[in-house]
Amino acid sequence: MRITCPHCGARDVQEFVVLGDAMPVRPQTPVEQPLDEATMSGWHDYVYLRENPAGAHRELWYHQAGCRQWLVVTRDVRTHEISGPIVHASAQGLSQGSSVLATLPVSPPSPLEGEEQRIELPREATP
Amino acid sequence: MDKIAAFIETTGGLSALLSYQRTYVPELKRDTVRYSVFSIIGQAFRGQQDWKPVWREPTPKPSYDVVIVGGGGHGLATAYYLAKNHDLTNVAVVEKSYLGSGNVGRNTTIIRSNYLLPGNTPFYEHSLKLWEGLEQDINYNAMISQRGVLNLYHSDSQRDAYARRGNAMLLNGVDADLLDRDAVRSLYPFLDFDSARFPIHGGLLQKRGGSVRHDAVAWGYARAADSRGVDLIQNCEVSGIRVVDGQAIGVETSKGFIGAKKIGLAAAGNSSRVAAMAGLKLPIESHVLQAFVSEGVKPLIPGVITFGAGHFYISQSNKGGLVFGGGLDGYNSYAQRGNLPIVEDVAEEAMALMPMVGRLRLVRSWGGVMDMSMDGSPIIDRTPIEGLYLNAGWCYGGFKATPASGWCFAHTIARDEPHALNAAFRLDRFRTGHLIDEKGAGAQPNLH
Repeated sequence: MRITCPHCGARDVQEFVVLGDAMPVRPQTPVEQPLDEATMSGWHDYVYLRENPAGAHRELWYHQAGCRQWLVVTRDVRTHEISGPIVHASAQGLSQGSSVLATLPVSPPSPLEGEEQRIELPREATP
Repeated sequence: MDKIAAFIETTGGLSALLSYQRTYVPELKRDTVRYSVFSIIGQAFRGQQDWKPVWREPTPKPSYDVVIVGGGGHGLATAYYLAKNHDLTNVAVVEKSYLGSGNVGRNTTIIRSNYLLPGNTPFYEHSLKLWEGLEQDINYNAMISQRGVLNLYHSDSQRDAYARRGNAMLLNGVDADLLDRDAVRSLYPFLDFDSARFPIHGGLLQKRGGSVRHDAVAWGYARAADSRGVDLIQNCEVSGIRVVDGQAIGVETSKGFIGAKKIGLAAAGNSSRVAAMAGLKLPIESHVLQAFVSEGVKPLIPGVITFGAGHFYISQSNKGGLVFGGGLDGYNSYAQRGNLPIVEDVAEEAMALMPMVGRLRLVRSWGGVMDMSMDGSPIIDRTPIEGLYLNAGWCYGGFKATPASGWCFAHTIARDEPHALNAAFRLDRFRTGHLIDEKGAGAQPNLH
């Protein structure tokens, strides 16, 4: 399996780390908001529930041994065939993509820089 | 003659014989007709043409008390225990392909109960106990071989973790032996003990673990369920679950609608797809796990060995091939085949563990689709839909669980409530925070 990175070109899958489904939307819960049932339910769905389709699957891959960017890849999970454009998650401006990214350190040299990128990511919506 | 009778009487042999007859003769009688010395000799002269099928191929009835979706190990075991333990015989198992076409025929055949966490250990120990009596129970040779499962450790901290696991097992009445390096060496002298990167310091041995002829489990349960009146309907794919007013009333299939008072889903690998037919979204992702077999060689590995520094397990089949596997490919997949990086990874682990396998040729590799749950533990529970029950999320530990899974799922369906053994395997445990995360990997299914 090879993934064509928009920055680095077609590369072996071993250069990448897969995170999984790019579609779950991170709930936008302000910190000060009390955790009522609806809020908790939203978090439960985001963290645990997956569509898990047998077909086209939009997922996040991290090009660890290349450009160190998060990619959104659409792949048919029945055949492993990749279709459609592969884009940088940050460039896509996906709420779901960037929201998943916001939970992760993006290859941070230090936790502090990771924090900064978390805030920056959604704002880098334009390619 | 008198002496013999007196001997039998004094040893209690006669009463044992009588109780043996009471217990097993009905089953034996049926099979004596099927298989006897005379039938084998007779068939030899008739070109082996007259053997009868061991189960029926019924056309589905309009409705059943219980319909089980999925004719694999768990589905067939569920049907068997519904009939045996709960007197429910108006039961059908619907299978989209042939019986045992999924993971019950694709695994590496290992059974064990070396679990750490409270929700898991008693369940898997019950499973191992059922394995121990299974062949007599279903009167089928499943080649159950308790040859021991050894988990190797390669560092002091891993030794501590295994000591803790072993103690948890002992507290639950499970057998566990913590072996040092010399004890492991006496069992398996051929391992690479002095590997520079992952030297072997010892291992946690469960002697009662071992391996089973996996296909025979499906066939044995199928025959036993069929002989108790369960309809096994093959090549019958479920395309929908009919729900009226929050109550499941039957399944749409490629052979038409089949009504059911209760529906049990046991379609691991495809649980999300089947559950979606009833509008349920599960905490599960489907992933591919590969397995491998080498050319046959003379007896080499007496038990099951797992490599503690990676994810690798190996044993030898009765045909002589080395059967082994590793971790998941890592990405979502419904394809029953994987990719080369894992093949390479598994081969590297084999070489790190026992370099002598380097010249063996690989005969086959294949893949199975795993229900990877969000905490690495299974689900056996009711669902929010009345009359719909779920058995899913077995990750890649489903085979060893087959008897207890069927046993507990049958109980859950028949009594409408979980048994104490599967009470922790709740569908809503992710909502309430009662996760059973044996590996401590969090909500990342491909890491479990």
